[in-house]
Parts: sequence; structure tokens; C-alpha cells
Amino acid sequence: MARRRMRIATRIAIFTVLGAGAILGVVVFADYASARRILEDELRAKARYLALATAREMEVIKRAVEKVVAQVVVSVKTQLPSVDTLYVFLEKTIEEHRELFGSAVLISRPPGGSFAIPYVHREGERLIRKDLASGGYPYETLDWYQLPVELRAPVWTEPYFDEGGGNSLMVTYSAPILSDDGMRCEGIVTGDLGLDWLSSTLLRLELGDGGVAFLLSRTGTIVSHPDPELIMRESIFSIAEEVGRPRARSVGQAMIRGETGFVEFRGFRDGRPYWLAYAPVPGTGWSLGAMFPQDQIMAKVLELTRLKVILGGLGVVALLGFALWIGRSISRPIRDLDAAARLLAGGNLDAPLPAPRGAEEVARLTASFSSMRDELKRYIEDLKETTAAKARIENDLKTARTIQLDILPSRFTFDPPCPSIAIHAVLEAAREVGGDFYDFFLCGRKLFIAVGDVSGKGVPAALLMAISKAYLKAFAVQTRSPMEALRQLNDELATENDEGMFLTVFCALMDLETGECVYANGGHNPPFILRRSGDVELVPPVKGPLIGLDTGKRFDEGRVTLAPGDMLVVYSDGVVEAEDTSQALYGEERALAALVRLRGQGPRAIVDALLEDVRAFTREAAQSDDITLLAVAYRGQPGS
Amino acid sequence: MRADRVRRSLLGGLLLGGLLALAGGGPGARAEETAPVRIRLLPLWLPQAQFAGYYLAGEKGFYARRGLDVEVLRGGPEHDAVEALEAGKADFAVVWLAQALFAVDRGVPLSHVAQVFATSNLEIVAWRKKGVASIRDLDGRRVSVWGDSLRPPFEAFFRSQDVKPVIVPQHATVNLFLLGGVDACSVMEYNEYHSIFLAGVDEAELVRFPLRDHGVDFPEDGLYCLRRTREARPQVAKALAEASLEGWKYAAEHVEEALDSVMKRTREANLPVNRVHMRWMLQVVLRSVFPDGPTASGAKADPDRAPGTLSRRAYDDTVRRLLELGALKRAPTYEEFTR
Repeated sequence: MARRRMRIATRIAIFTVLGAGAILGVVVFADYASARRILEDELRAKARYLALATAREMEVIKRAVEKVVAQVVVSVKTQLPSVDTLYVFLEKTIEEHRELFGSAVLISRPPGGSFAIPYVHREGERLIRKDLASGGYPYETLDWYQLPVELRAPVWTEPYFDEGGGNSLMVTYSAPILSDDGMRCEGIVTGDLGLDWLSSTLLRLELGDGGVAFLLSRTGTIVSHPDPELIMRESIFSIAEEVGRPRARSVGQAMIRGETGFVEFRGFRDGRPYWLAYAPVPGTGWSLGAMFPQDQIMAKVLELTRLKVILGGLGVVALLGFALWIGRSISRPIRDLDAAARLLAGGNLDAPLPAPRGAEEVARLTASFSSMRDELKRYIEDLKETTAAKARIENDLKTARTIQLDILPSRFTFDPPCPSIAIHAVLEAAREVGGDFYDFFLCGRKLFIAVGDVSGKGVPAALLMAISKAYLKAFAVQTRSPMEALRQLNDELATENDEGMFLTVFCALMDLETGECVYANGGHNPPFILRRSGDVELVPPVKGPLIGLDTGKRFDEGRVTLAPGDMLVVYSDGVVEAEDTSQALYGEERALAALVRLRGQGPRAIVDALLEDVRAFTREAAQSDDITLLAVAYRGQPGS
Repeated sequence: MRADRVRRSLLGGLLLGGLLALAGGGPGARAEETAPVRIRLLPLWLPQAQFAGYYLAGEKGFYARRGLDVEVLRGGPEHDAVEALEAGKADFAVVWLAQALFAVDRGVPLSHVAQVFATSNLEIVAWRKKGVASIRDLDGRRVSVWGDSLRPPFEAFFRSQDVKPVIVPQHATVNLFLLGGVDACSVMEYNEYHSIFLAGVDEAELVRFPLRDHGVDFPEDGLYCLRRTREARPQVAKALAEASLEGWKYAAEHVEEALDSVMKRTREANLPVNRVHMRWMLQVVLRSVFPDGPTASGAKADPDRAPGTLSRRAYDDTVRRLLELGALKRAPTYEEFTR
């Protein structure tokens, strides 16, 4: 499947934006998290401080009430004043202590005998006197009466609506007047704290950040809260049950146990997440809570984060544009170069290349292209010249080949006809021109045959071959002796042989009447004799050096007689040294076997078949040497 | 759009009501024939879920359908139900069986109209941390118990269990118990027990002794009137009982709607109560109204247990125990009492 390739500009833009976006995301998130943590820590400290400070303020107020009540207890116990005196005394006390809503004194056995419970409480700016012992006020059923009597200790009541008394929501500090032995309760002094006043005092506290302060009584009842619907009606436990939050219940229990803490907490009504700091109001069993809405606190951080995200987003967009621009500026020269390279590849070497700009990579690439183009041009010029020269040489070689082939006898009949012999020869040059040659001609009643092989190949060998063939024929005609002809040829060639070239030659002079052959051999492969019987034998070797190396060499002469029906097969080493693809040699054995198979056939057939056998052996392998075969069959004299 | 829907459903309701009325024969048809009978019903305490059935019977028209125009008066500690009946300040009142028996013993000609709470809801609750584990542990302990007519059931309980605690008077709150001033206190399961829970005390911190689990199962809230009221208009008393029970059945099937009604009244009376507490109260008292569940009908074989009926067995047992205590000198027979 072919993958769709992205353009450089797109790729740069995408990777840049992805990278920058990821970094931006991580930075913004880390920033948000740390800001949130810092805010939380600050809030924790602030809420703790506020809760403690508010609780302390509450404590001061309550302590003041407790102190006043304690003083009244002492005064009453020592003086046992009359009811009228008590009213005046209570009025004075309440006037002096603004936190006090009302106060009552109960003396079990009043000195005058008439039982009354003088009570003074505020109503707006006025002070109201009231006798709680009259008018059906059920004082004996109320906590402010029963608790100190039963517990024989001063006590803060739970918040209650004092119907028929102060007719207001309040808590009362109620202290027993104990007998000297502490066993009997002789009376009670109360001090009321108005919840309205308490709430307004609490609400005055500026918590900030949407913070809310609330007060729980020792039973968890909400005593003070900005939402008046909750006051007295609900307790932290009723809310916990209403919304099914056992956690809120355990927080409430921790609060009324007088613990201090900072927890996450759901709002009483809205269920929003808050942070809640709580602290006890010492000595009362009450607990003060300061709640801060998390979302309001986090709003600042969120806003800041949102701003960062927006700015970062804009930055990324700008970066995208910039990356595209850079990508384009990089890819434009590359695209131009690409177009020019296509033209170059199409063969138009003169097509203009874009001007290299600057010193960066693309400019260098353009310059490289330019120099490559120039090199290519020059190379092609050279190639043209070389090709032309080669063509000329090839042409010459073709001509030379024609000439060379022409200097070899190509007609295998004689004029007048010579019925006592049949002859055939073939020369397969490995290249256009070769170093092998063969020759045959009649010298009177004798036939001269020769096969030669010049060392090396190609034109030098061809030249030497041409000379050698010409000389050999001349010397053979002149001396009518193979031995002598070779000797003269050797001397002639060795005299001026600076190149150190040499050749091997086998030549023979056959008496057409007797079939006797006189032969000499200058380093050539000994030819085969194919007897009429089918036997194949080698022409007996005679001494003779390579021709053309040293002057004054001697050549021996051998004799062999061919009977009618016998055949002499002369060959160059290109036959037995022919190689197949695995570089195995054709060899004499194969040649002998082929000749045995071919017995009884004529020279042409034998030459062609042997050549075919060699080709079948070498198959695909390139011909490495010239191959020459010459076969002459002696048929004997007609009539003999 | 929402207003539209409300209007449509109202209209539908009116149409349906009209059709039912036209169908005739039903109690609704009779109601329109004569002017409704005005009745003042006094519950024995402040507005709370203990009386939800009466509120709903009024709001859902169960009284009106029977030709009654019932005004549910505001009760409270300043109103004694029996005294109000005697003084003619109320026509009917919700009174406990024991209280009614005391009144009859005093010579007040009370007539039992219907028994609404068939079982007792009273308990003694003790602090586990103070070493109370069984009833026997209450012997000699400081236990706060309500006074007056509320005390005899507890006395019957202590007597039957043969324990003698030191009784401290208990009034409107359980704060003395919460502050540790007493080791145990009297509670109604539907009220104070849950108040203690709502003061942050977990159930595991408490030991509970429900009186009914120990043989002292005095039926509580019942509908009463003066004998002459009943003799003058016996049908009215019957209709009031039926409609009230229908109201209770409706409350059992529509708890949140009942709570809405209760909360509305507590707010009007400026009472410091919350919905959670009222829900608890309603659920507990419903078990007392319908011990076999609100759907169990007359198909139940035992007529002694039918909602609204005073169980003869429970009546006899209550009378016996109160006589043993000496709280009663004499008591009418079941037939005399319910006649």
C-alpha cells in the first residue's frame, strides 16, 4: 500500500503545533494544579484562623455572660435581696452588658415568703420585667431550670424559643445557687444570649471569598447560619440524613466532640463542594464552622487558566502560520529544484537550475546539482567522442576481420581438382580479429597445410598472424620443407620482436601419391590422426620451440603416413582449452571421444560436428580463445 | 407552559369530580345535599407527622366527601385534650388509650370512636457506655421519665420487669440524657429516639428497650369525643373515623406529599423541626396505624387487628396492668368503652 506522503510544510506545521500544544497543555495543567494547591493551602490557613478567631470571639461573649451570671449568683447568695431589688439589679446588669439578652433569678425559699422569678429581658431598646413564676410559664419543664438542678452545675442550654418568657430564640447560661455543702440547689441564676444577636455578630465577620460561618450547638443543631430557614430547624445530622451523606454525619460528630479540622464538605442546601474549617467554642460544647465554596475560590484560578489556554491557543495558531511559512520557504527551493531535476532526468541538460540562495543546505544541494549537471554534460560529451572513436575502431575491426578472413583460404576445392584429398577448415575468432590462422595449398604433387596460433588476441595478434601466414607460405614454397620453413619463420620474426610476441605453428607437407606427411611443429598441439579403422592417434611429437622468441633455433622433422581413408585433424588450443561456465576445460579426451564417434565421416562433417561438440560443452560461456580446426582426408591415388 | 399543565390537570380533576358527583349514590352526592357538619378536632400535641392522616383527610377532601368540615386545631402542651372536650373547645380529640381510661375513671363521659395507633411506641433508651446492657441494669439507675399520664406505661414496664430505677422527671427535651445527667430516658420511637440520633449519637452507643417487646403494648392515639356528642350524631363520629383512616392510608401511600403538608403546618406554627425528623416520625407511626401494612384490608381474618379497631385483647391487657398499678380504680368493659 502506497503511503500518502505529507508535504514538508504540512509536516513541519503539524509536528510543531502538536509539540507546542502538548507542552502548552502540560504547562497549563501543572500551573493550574500548583495554583490550586497554593490556594488550598492559603485557604486552609485562612479558614483555620478564621474559625479559631471566630470561636475565640464567641468564647469571649460566652465567658462574659458566664462571668456576669457568676457574679449575680454570688450577690444573690450573700444578700438574698427582695424581688424589687432583684429587678433593679438585673436591669442594671443587662444595661451594662450588651451581649446579655435577659437574666432571671430564682430563689427556692425567698426571704419574704412570696415566690417569684424576676426576669428582665430586652425588647428593642427597652427592658421588660416579667415574673416567670406567674402566667402559666412552665419553667419547671424547661432545660434552664431542670439541667442545673439535676446536674448541680452551671450549664449552657440548647437553643430554644422561650415562649412566654423572652419570646425569642436564645441560649441560656443557667447556674445553680448551691447550698454551702454543695448538695442542695437553693436557686438559679440565668443569663440569656439572643441567637439573633449572636447571628448578626457572626455575620458581621467578613470571611470573604463567599465564606459562610455557622454555629452548631452541642447536639449539632444549627444555631447560627446566614440562611434563617436552617436555624434551629435543622441539625448537621438531619442534613446529613436528608441528603444521605454519612460523611457529613461523621464530620458533625467530630465537630460536637470539640475537634478542630479542615475538610471538604458539601453545602447544606446546594450540595456544592466547600472547604470547611471547624473549631470548638471552648467551654460550651459548641462548634464553629467556616465554609468556603470551592468553585468560587477556584474561579480565579480557572479564569487565569482559561486566559492562559486562550493565549496559548492563539500562540499555537500563530506558530502554525509561522511553521507553514518556514516549511514553505524550505520546500519552495526544493520543489523548484525537483522540477529542474525532472527536466534534467528527461534529458534536458540545458534546463536552467534555480539560482542557489544563501548558504544553507538547499542552496548547497542546488549547487551540487548544478555541478553534477555540468559533470554529466562533460561526461556525455566525452562519451560521444569515445563512442564515435569506438565506432570507427569497430568499423576498422570489421574491415580487418573481413581482410583477415579473406587472407585465409575459403575454397576447399582445388583447380585442377585433386581427388586424392578432401579438406575442410574453420576459424572462429573470439573477437573481431583473431590470432589463429590456417593455410593450405598445393606445391606440385604435394599439399602443404599449416595451423598457427599467435600469442595474445586482437589486433596485435592479427597483425602478427597476417605476417606469419605470409612468411610461412613464402618460406614453404621456397624450401618445400616444413622444418626449414619454420626455422626461417622463427628467425625472421625473432629478429625484430620487441613486443615479445610469439606463435605456435604446426605445418606438414603431404605427398599426394604416397600419403606420407613430413611435418614440423613449433610448440603447437599435436594433431590427431583418425585412422580408417576408427582408431584415433596423435601425430608423434617432434621437437620445436615457440616461434618468434629467439633466433637460430632448430626444429625437428617428423614423418607419418596416411593410408587412404585416414584423416589428419589439426586444431588450435582454443579447442581443447574451451571452458564451460564452471571453467572446466573441454580437453583432449572429449575431442578424442568425439572423433571416435564421428569416424567414417568427411572432413567438413567432422569439423562441423567437432565444433558443435565444443559449443555444446561451453554452452553459455563466452568464447575465450580463437578456435581453429582443419581436417584433411587422404583418399589415395585413383586407381592404386 | 407549566402553569398550563397545572391548569389542565386541575380542570381534569374538577371534571372527574363532577362526573363522580353526577354518578350519584356516593357519599359525595350526599355531602352536597346538606350543609357540612363543622367539627373541631384537637390533636394531643403540636403539629407534627404524628397527625399527618388527619391533615391529609382534610386536604384531600375525605372529610368533605362525608359531609364534614373538620378544623384540625393546634395542639400543644398548653392544651389538655380531655379538658378541651369537657370545656367544649373541641368536638373530637386525639387521646392515648391510657389517658382516656384515666379520664373515664375520673368520671369524664368519654366515648372511644376509633383506635388509630394500635401499638405502643414507647421505649427506654440507655447509654451503653454507662454500663447498661439489659433491663436489669436499670435497677437503681437514674432514669428520666415523663410525668403525669405518660408515666403509667413505664411504671407498668418497670413493674413487669421488676426493676426499680431512680425516676427523674423528664420534660420537653432529652438534653438531660444527652448531657449525661441520667443513664436512661423515656422516648417515643417516632420522636425522641430519632432526636437523639439527630444529635449525633449513633445507634451503637445506645441500648433500646421498646415497651411493646416486653409485654407492655398499650395502644396509643385514638379518636375520642364526649358520649353526648356521639349519641347526638353517631353518623358523624363514624364518618370522621372512616375519613381519618382514609387520610392515614393516603399518607402511607404518599409519604412525601404527607410530609409537605406536615412541614407546612410546622412552619406556620414556627416549630423548630426538620423534614428528616418528620419523615422518620411518619414512617414509624404508620407501622403503628397499619401493623399489617396499609394494603392489608378486611380480607384479614382477625377483625381484632383491623385498622381503626381497638383490639379487645390489647384493651383488656392495658386495663389489667393499669389496675394492677393502682393507676386505675375501675374501668368500663370493652363494650361500654367503645359504645
